[in-house]
Amino acid sequence: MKIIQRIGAAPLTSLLIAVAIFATVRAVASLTAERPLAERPGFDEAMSALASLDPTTFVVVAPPEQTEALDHVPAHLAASDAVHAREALLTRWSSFVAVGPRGITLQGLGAEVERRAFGEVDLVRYDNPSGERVIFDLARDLDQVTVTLEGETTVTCNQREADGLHCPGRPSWNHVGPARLTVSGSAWPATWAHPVTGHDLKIALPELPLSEAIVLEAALDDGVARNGAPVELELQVGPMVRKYVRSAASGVLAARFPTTPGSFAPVVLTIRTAQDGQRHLGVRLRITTRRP
Amino acid sequence: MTRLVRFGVFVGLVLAGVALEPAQPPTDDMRFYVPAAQSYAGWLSRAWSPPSWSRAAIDSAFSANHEHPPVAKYVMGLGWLVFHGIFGLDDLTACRLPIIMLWAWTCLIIFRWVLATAGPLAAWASVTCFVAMPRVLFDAHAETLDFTVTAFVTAAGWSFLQALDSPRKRTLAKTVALHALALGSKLNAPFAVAGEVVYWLLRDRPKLRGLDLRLSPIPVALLLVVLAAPVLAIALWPWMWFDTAARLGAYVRFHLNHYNILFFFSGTLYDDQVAPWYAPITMLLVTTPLVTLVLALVGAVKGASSPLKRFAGIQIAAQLVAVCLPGTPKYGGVKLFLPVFPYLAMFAGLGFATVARELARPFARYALLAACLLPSAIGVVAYRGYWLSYYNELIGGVRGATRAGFERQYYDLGYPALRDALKEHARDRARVAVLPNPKEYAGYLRKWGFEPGPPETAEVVVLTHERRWPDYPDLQARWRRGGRLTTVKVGDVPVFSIYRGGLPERIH
Repeated sequence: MKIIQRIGAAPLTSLLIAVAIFATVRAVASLTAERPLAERPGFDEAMSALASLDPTTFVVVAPPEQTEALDHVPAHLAASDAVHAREALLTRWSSFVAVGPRGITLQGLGAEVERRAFGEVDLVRYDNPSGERVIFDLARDLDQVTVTLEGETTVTCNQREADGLHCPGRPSWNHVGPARLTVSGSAWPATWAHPVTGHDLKIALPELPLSEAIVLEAALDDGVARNGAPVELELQVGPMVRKYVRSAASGVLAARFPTTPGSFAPVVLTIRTAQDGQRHLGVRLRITTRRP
Repeated sequence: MTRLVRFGVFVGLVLAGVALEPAQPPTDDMRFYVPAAQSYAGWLSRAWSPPSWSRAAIDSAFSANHEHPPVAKYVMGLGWLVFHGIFGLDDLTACRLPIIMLWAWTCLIIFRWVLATAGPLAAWASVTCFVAMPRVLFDAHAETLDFTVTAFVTAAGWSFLQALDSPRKRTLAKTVALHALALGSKLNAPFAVAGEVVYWLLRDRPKLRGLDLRLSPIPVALLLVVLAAPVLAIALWPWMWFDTAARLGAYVRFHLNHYNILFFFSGTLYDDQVAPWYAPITMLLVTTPLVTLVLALVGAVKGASSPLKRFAGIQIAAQLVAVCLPGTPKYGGVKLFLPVFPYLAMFAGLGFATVARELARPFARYALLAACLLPSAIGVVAYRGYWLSYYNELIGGVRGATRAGFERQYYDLGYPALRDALKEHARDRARVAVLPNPKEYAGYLRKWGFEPGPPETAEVVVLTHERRWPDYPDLQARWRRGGRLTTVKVGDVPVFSIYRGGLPERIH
């Protein structure tokens, strides 16, 4: 009763004391170390369960400050303490598995497909929401390709800049990197690949397991599409070669190169033109497969 | 308060500022602002000789970092001339000392302004709340533009109110000078001027009779602030003395088309898109100590009406509205609206004075103030060296904020702890890669006796846990395979980890 009387006599002071106590307790609690995930009952069993997953699964330890738990995730699996819910990043994987305390969820990955409990640790599976896995995407995996400019002399375009791979000694437009073109009046994100007169611009992919097809798209920016020479694109997969021509017109050239799923073959995209003036070319190159 | 006492308090505050954090990590802005400060200071030191006033000499000195106005760099440059040139301090410390001095000066302004309006208890509460803001402390120790503009905006605001009431020549001259220094510091200073115009319009309300709108006579202080201060600000910027129109145009275009800066906010990565309008308000709410927020709210709702209260409220609104507008860049924690915080602290002081009226005994009042400051003080001490990672009790500190999808840091900081960890886990001259943003760390690594290099050939790889980079998950997935050597944390949250280098296979 006395306390209520005192609160009534000094309500703002009472409120302030309550806030100060709450804030102090919260501050101390937020700074106190929590039990590491790896020390929780069931963690080892959860890690054993992860061992049977195939390497197209991405493991996410959660909450994100539990980075050290990554040390225990089987080495054959890609794993991090974060995942960005963006299509280009998500479609690299067939599924995601969250490892965390009971009740853990990951935002932005859609509905959970399966939840398994191991003591105080949960494994939660989310499937790639698009239904197909992008094994390779030139824009996403630019750091994995080898770019050369072959003419009288060959230049290896390995000079990494913020806007992509530059060819040493060449003008800045002669680079391969992310770009946003305008095609048929709309924004068209792609990889800039300006051809050079008298040269072959070659983009060689790393050795990857192929799937049903390689998908190639190419377009010239609307502002210059009609003002110059056509551009030839040559896609070589092992011994097989197909040639495509992006004529001097607006719009996207789309091509599909069938391949044998599971096979391995060198893949090289060659771009050339008779006259390189204003050939502002963007390409998209993707290897996709249906989610296993 | 006599001048001598004020000077003593100022010196005490500077010493306290230095003692609070003698080893704050350098920011990635250091490589722009410190050389620019040195260049400008070099020109100032030669300004007595006529050749220094030639276009070639001025362009040569002021081309460095001409994307931003010069005053903050003059401040740092003068510090460099004195503390490096005379006392031999290192470049970075010499440039930071005057920023700390501006912080001490801002504390004094807050104290005196609130003292004059609401008495000593409110003044003490304001200034202690301001001192106990970890995010502000970070900027008050950083070689950047943000605290300089905050200090001059606050001083200019105080002077403006004085000039409105008492338009004496000296006060008017001071007001114009302080506004020119604010406008010459950073792009967000004009928002404070806009706030002053609004304040005058609300104070001397226009009269509307039918369709006849009559403004009250415009005070000379406001006229000078709007007309003379911008001219003086440009006069302070020798880069603008030649090709003025073209260079002013380039300056405006640069900021209207500012390159995009990544921002990780509430679990979403913003790069091409600007973060939602409420992002700055959210950042304010989760990085200001909770008790200070509550006190400011009490001050706003229950505090006695006064010119200071109205003015502070308008200034807070002006800064926040400007940065919340659609299309205005939103990134970098609270730095884009840092001038809000002195006013927020003043509101907190007014709020505390309102609460304290319920207590009769002075001891009880100061004891209550101490209790209110305790959680903020815990934040200042616990996050020392990592003030940029501070989040308040509402969101659960940096751990709660990290879980909620906020940035742990964004300034590519060269933590002393990183240097020490590398010394422990890598040999001298070892090749080191820092990911996801290696470019900003090359200078630090060389200074610490390591060689920056590509991750493929590095002996150790450092991963700063900055989730604002799209490739962060892939980088961690790749380099964790080399084996983690150590992780350095603040508030139980990793700030960076060091992995063995070599060439772990790519992930598919």
